[in-house]
Amino acid sequence: MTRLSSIHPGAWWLFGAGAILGLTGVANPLVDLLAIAVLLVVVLRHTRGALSRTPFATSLRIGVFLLVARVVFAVLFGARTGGTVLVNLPQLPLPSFFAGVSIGGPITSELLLQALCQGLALATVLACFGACSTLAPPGTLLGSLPKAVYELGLSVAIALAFLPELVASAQALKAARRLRGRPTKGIAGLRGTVVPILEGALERSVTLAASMDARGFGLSTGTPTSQHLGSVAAGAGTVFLGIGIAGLLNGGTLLFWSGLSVFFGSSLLATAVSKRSRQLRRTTFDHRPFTRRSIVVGVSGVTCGLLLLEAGRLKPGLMSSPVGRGWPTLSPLVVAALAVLLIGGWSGPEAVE
Amino acid sequence: MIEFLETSVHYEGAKHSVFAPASFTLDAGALHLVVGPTGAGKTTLLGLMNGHVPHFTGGRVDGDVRVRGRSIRDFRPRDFADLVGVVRQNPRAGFVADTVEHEIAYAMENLGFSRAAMHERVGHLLEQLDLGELRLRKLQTLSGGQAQRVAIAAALSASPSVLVLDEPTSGLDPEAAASVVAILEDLVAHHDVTVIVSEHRLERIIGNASSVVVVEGGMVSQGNPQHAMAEASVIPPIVELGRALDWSPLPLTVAVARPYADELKLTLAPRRPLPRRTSAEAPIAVLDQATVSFGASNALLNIDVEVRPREVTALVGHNGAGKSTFLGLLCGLVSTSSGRVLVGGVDPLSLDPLALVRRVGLIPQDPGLLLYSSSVERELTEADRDGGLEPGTTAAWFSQFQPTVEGSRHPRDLSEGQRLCLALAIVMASSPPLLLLDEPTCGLDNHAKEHLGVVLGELAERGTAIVLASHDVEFIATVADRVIELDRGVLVSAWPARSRPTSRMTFTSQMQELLGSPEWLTAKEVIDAVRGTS
Repeated sequence: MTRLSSIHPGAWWLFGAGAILGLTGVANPLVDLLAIAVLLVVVLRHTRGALSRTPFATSLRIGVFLLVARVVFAVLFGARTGGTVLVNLPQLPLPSFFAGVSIGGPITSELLLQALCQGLALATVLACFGACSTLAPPGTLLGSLPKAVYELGLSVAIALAFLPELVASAQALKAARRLRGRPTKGIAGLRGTVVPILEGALERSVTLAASMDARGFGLSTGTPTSQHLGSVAAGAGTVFLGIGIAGLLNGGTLLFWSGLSVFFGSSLLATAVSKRSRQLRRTTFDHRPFTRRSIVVGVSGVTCGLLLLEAGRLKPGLMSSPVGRGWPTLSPLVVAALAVLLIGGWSGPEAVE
Repeated sequence: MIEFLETSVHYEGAKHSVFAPASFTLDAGALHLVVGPTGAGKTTLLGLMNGHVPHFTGGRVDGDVRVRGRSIRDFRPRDFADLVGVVRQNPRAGFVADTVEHEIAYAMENLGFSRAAMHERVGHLLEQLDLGELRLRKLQTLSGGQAQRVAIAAALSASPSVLVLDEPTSGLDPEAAASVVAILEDLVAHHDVTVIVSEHRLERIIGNASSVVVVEGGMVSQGNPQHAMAEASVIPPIVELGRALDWSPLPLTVAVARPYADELKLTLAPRRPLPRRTSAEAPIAVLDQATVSFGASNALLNIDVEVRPREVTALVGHNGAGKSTFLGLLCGLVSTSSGRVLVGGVDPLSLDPLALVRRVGLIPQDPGLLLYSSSVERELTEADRDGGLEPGTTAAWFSQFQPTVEGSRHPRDLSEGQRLCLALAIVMASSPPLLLLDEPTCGLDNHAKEHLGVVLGELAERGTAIVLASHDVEFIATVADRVIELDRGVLVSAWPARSRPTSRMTFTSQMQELLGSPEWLTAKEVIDAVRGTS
């Protein structure tokens, strides 16, 4: 059994968030493949080569699936542009209001390459998420959350943990159906499986809630009234914040009022959260200080993201798919960005037994 | 420590309160045993001790319950977290964290312990419950016995003075159960913890109890163990024997009954118990050098077994010995890595579901997995349709097993025993010549167990071959004609039930232990023999 490195889990998520910032929408296959390679090296170092069965491996698998799905969809429904025709599929005539959509038709090499590049862009972002969850499992983040948000975070963590259990109970049910002489495949097999699984999940959540209750979950010094007030304040704060952000994004004439709404909403939310945090008695078992190495890891991710954005701004078209424009290229800035990511990720101490 | 003051509980929608107003006191620093049939209200009684009832479950509580002066009227379960630790049935479902150490620390985190105090306490508990090596393990990789010990450690983490456990040994093999009981004994003796345990298999724990609370027929009464066992309807075999033979004082454990053993052996010397069934018919199922591997490890290794009609075979062994895999092979849920499995001459894996259920039936550990419908009646008619059977076939089987259950009830609301019989009826409706049961007595009280024993005996008489995997030594003693012992995937022994060597103490019944001979298995046999001689 290995403990993951003593890097603060928040640092790893910052590392990943930075990478995602820079890599979102990047359809240049050279950049994408290099980034995945960097993540692979970092994950391998910190898991001591035990790659299979990590979330990173799963994310790569899902990435490949998305890539294939993207290509299949392009072949079947993609917009028909000019180019080198590889195969000519029979085309289904569609009514005129389906403009821009076609089923079948000529398949060009450009169409396939375009789909491949876009699929790869998606897979790269997914790999960033996979790397984060491998390097700092979401559960470990819990201890670092503000006390008041902890309760929310815990429910998310538990929901995630239930997924594998749902798969297990689905398998048990499938076995039971076979033992009753019922079909196990197809729609008929699916019907009558879903309800018992959900019932089981519900029962387990009630048991879990009882277990948490008996062990002091949510124990606070606040009176019920002050707790209710806190919830109302947090709710109202979220609503104001949402309205304000929507207004800001929309631009237009209400800029002042939107700004005010954002300010008011976020202050309300912050007050509610800090008040609740002071009411909760909670302490945490793990001690994970934000060490210098953690800072290096976090900063490297963010720096990489910013450098990638800057590289894209300096050379328009660099980050989009090169289809129809020859071979994909790199710029020195891109190489530097990925080097920063690699060095930062590598710098964390190795996993310890 | 815990006072019940005219306490009764009334759930919404129920006609009657769970039990009549009860008043008693559970003393500090002792082990109190709660016994009674399933559905009588044991879990409700335990739930009252930290305010789980009524704060979590709803319902109305009349009277009061006080734990060290704190009333459940004013305190919620979370307010009892520093005083009462709770371990519920199925500990895994209550796990919150992902690793052993975090699970143990969870209650302390909520109560605001300092980090240093938490680390000290976690280290201490890991040592006390012999969990040291498992500190960083993921909770889902634990065995049943380990999970139960972690749940106990987690409940003890905030140093409560009271520990409440709901059937803590029900899923465990005899050895793991014994280690849990030893832990409870140690807590009471050396750590000043008041322990309250509910349990069906009294023989495992009655010797450690200083008082017994009986919940039965809507009444709650408390008394000393001797007194309670002299009157209770749910009793271990040694007490059944002692009561029948008028031993006084009534022994509660085999160790205490030893002085009576020599005289009893003399009385029994000229007698023999009725022979168990033996079958000379051609085997209905054959395992031929069967090996099952999961990755690098063998779940079963080179198993040779023949199963014959009219015979009840019991599989015993520790958790993880390969019993469930053995059953899975026979019903086509698990495939062999090498060797052969034949059921009725064919490989069960090759059969489609409908052909399979006509050859072999399996009752899983949770019989509810076989039930889907919203009422017993619909379950029975759907089973006829699934199996392509004459309408009414399944209902006829069910009324043999359980003549009095209303058809309109939801399967979920049946007792464990009734639900097991419903699953049994559904499986037997297709008349499979081979019936498999996985831990059938896990949630059953003694009455339901006795009933199941009779039902299985009748099925065997009529020609069904039965294989059951069980930890329940006394149940096996009642029903089994042959006992197969597995240890880490290897078949260690296969003996007729009456001639198994008793050297391996973990899988012997109380009568075998008392008389030091494998021949006498159940209290009933011994009592009948003694009465026959006098």
